[in-house]
Amino acid sequence: MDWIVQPMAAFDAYGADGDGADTAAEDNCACRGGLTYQCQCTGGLVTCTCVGGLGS
Amino acid sequence: MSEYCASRYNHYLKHGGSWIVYNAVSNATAILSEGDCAILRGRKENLAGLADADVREFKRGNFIVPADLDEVEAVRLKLNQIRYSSRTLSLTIVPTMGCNFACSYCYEPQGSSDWMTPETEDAVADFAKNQIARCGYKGVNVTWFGGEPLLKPEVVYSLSRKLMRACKEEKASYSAMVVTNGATLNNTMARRLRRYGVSHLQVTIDGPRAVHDMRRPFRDPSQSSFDTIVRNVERVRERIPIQIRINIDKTNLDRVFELVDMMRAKGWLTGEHACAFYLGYTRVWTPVCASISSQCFSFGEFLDAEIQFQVDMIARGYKPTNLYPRKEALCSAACMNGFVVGPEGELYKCWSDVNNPEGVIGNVREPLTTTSRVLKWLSYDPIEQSSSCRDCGVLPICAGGCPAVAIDQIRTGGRITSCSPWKTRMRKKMDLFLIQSAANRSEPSHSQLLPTDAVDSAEVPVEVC
Repeated sequence: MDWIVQPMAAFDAYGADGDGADTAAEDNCACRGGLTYQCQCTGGLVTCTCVGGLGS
Repeated sequence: MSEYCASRYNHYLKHGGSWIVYNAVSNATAILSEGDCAILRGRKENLAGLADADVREFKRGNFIVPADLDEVEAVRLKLNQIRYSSRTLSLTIVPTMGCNFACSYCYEPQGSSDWMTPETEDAVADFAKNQIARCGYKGVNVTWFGGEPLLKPEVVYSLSRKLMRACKEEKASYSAMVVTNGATLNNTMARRLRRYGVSHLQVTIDGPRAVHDMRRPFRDPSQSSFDTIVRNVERVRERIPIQIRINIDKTNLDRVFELVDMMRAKGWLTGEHACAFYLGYTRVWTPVCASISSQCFSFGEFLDAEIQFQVDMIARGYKPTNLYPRKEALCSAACMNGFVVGPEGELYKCWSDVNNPEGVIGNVREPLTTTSRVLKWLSYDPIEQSSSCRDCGVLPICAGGCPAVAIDQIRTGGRITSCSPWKTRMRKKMDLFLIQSAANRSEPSHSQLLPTDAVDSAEVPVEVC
């Protein structure tokens, strides 16, 4: 088996305001999981993009 | 290995002659040998035959789980951890309903253009402080929203000071971002916002000038809002990170690349101060904007449009984001720690309720009580209330989708349609991710696997099992 995205590199369970076990990816996440609906972070693989579900 | 079985949240994809497995709990992806894939796909409880050296890694990726583990209940536990998390108090603050724009799709009921008073600011800060003390929050995260919060930035500065002081006294961290139309941005404002804990701004531009000005005009349309915003973003983007939101529907999708090309030409998309951008879904959130329904995509159409946009981006030499599955938090509307605060200190759970009296759940000046309006949100449990969620293979990364949509659909006996795009479009989206990863030579673990000449091969057949 070869990893493409390792579990630790992937954004952990539910974002920086999630389960209290932040990965390094979460710590580096600009949005800190603060937006109301979606925190779209994929760790070190892709740039962090925060999406407010109802952003005007 | 008899005590382990393949996870129900595994997704198997055939790509470029290799088998790929993605797991929605760990959010990890790996390449499998034919033999290992056959064993996992068989969902045999006896996994004898898996390469011994890989077993630990299979466990780490959650590709195999203890046979007696109820994985759905494990997801429910996670969702409940989020729902009752004491990590971060999440406040969306609406300091005014006033706005200098007249967007065609605005969903907010017309409200007073009065601003939050200093007395209400004090009450909001006290509310935050009491919440931190009572619930043990380790941080406060604020999203400034409106109306247009930066029409009168002094209010944002003033309340930021009060909130930061409250956090300091309670030894909690503070962070913030602003959703703004960008019309009043300037360098001084950007500097001050950074000083007041604002990490970044979200600014919406819906296309080139003619398109944007049609959709998001000033209330006084004698000026181009597009020209104003573009000038302001140019000025401040090196001082504060900016994300560009592009709201799309049937009327402007075909013009989006004119905007993207302009951003590239202006240097907005590269370098240390690059702006991120993404497509937003335009929909009828409230009856206020019912007139736009015919121009809106269905959610499925939007997802397809987004995928096609990403394909086109790759073909045009851009590097699209959001290609990999992301873990989406349970919306803060369905969590104990999330509140929307209106200009008079009234509290809501959901952004779409702002200025709707029926959505008010309390006021920052009063003790919070458990009412039916509160329970409507906090009792939202996709696993309990929707069999399609309970049985869904991407539940761990979807968390039931938008509660505002799902609650309404459950109430009316309908089928939930706010599902994660990964539920129905896993094949296409993962394919794009793999192709883009292959193109990114800085990620050698990706490029080992994938064809590098596959930019136009979004239709590379990928099987999802």
